[in-house]
Amino acid sequence: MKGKKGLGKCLIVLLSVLVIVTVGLWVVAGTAEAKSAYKEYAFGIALPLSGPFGEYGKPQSECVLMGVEDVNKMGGVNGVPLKAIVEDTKSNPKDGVTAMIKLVDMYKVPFVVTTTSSITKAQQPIAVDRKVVLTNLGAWGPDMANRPNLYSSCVIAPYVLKAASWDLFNKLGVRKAAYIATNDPAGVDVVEVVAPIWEKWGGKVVAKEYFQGGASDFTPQLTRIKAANPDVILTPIHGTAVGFFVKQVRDMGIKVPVMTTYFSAANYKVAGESSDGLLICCEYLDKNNPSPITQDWYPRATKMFGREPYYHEANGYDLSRFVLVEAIKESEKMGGDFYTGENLKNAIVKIRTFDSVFGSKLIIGEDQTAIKPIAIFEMKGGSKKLLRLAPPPEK
Amino acid sequence: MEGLIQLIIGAFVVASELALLAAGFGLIFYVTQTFHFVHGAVFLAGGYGAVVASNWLGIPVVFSLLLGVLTAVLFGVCTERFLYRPFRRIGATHLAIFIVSLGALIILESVYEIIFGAEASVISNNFKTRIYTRGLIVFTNIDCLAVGLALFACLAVIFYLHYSPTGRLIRAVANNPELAETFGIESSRFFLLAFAIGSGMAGLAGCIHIIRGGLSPLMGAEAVLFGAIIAFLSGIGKIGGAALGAFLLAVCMNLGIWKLPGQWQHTIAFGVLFLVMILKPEGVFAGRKS
Repeated sequence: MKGKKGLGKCLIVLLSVLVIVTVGLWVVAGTAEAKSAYKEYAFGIALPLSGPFGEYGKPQSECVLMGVEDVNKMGGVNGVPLKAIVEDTKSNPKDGVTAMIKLVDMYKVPFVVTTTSSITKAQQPIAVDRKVVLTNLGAWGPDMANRPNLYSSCVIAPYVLKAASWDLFNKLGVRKAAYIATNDPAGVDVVEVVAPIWEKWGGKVVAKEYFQGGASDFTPQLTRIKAANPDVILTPIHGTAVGFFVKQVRDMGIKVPVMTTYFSAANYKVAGESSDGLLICCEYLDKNNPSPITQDWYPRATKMFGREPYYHEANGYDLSRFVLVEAIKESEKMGGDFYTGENLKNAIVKIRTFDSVFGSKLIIGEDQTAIKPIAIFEMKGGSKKLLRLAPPPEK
Repeated sequence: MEGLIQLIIGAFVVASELALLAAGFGLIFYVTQTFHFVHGAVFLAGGYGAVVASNWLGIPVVFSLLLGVLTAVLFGVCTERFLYRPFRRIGATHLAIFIVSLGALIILESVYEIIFGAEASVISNNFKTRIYTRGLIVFTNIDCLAVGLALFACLAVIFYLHYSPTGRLIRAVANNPELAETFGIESSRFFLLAFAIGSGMAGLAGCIHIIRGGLSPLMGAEAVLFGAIIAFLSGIGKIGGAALGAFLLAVCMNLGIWKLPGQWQHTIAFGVLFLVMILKPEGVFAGRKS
């Protein structure tokens, strides 16, 4: 009897140990599984690394990656490193969509960085369908605002061009404006928004000219502009075209002020002396801002590129270094399988204000685009001189 | 009125490049029946050859341009010798060679982008631009140089093809390569010659483009597209016709946007092509076949 009781006790103890070990192993395994699911936070970069926008897509990508490197050097996001998967949109919507599908379906990333209005517009429905966050560092067409799942770290064109127009109207006192832009939403729609405002102020729009993207000869359009005899020419064009445009304006003997919203070192190589006196209206990346973030980033970016960084490159750094990191941290508070597009989206909407290399904070407004200072620069002898800050964009 | 004259002057300048591209493309197609998409890459080779000579080797601009043209000639000849000829030897159809050429252009544009970057390249010691103004009409010394060079090159090639013994042989091969072979004329040699002349013209167009502003890797496709349009609407193999066709197309495109919005320029070009293809499919300046 005693023997049987002892055997029963032994069995109970053995079973208890077995249950404890099993439960223990299950818990440990579960924890291990949870940790391995987030051994890294992968996100996508879908930028134009080749094609007409490759000129600025490559450095933008390098800046996003610089943000990743900085985050990982500091131990990642709560100990988990960031991992960027880079895809080339080849400067066109078709390849932009392919890149997006590859990132969200193959690599399952919940957060993608992109740029260029036509490409972003093509990718955004995929972001909605797959429930991922699409962030934009430079696409600035008016229709970048209020698009589901799309958040921009750049100020969109209507605000920039409106600020540019305001400055010309009030500071230069010019009244007859000519607008020239690419025949795409980032060009036509912007001009169609801003030109009526110019006329509402009491000015006159004497010419509105459009050209095909990728063009390098603007002489027919400039002939028409010249015949319209404007006081000023305003253009929101970007990329390689700007250099050709500025050169041809002066080669055509047009002497009135010209204001662009972009001008790079590569553009200067093409335009040369013709760029003297060129006015540029863009986001204000203040290298002298005393903010430790600016003072840490700006010299490193300058060293990396061998030139001063542009604002849209800074926008890329802000997205990986601050927006994504803060969104993950906020999302983590929700617990469970937190690294999802929906959670990141909710986190961005909740946070809205992020640190930024611009010195001031990056505010993502109600329309899901950035609110930042805008400044007017003038080209002199190949370098950009700050003239003044433009009034803050009205949302 | 002055605006109209300015647009015509602009058309002359644009036509200078287009004429060279079309004449070169047309000559190659006329002699070899090859739809030479790589012509766009040859155009870039001319410009980038000049950039390398000028910016990397420090050679004066005039000699840099000359080296640019020579680079294009070498590039074109190598394309025929090492790309098209092997395909012809294995009996590849014109369509197969057409696709090979298109693929090669896409690859070569990427290669240019890797070497020279996506942004526009310029010649650092370019000619200084002088602007001449007559009332509202404006043109530059570079514009005059572009028109002059194109005119000279087209006239030189016309003269060579019509009045030199070798030129006559090229035309003979173009008219009937099999018959030419029976007379002991080795057609492959004249294919190479046609590629050399045609590529030289494309290279000169590339050089003109770079001294007028700058060159970026994606300009090759548009160059060959317009070259082909003009070559076909002028009549294949007509060098003078190509020059005149280029000017007429440039005038149509420029004058068209005098009344239409500027973004219609390409539509006008293709509209003209369609019209010519319907009304005179052999080309505006094509004569009767002898």
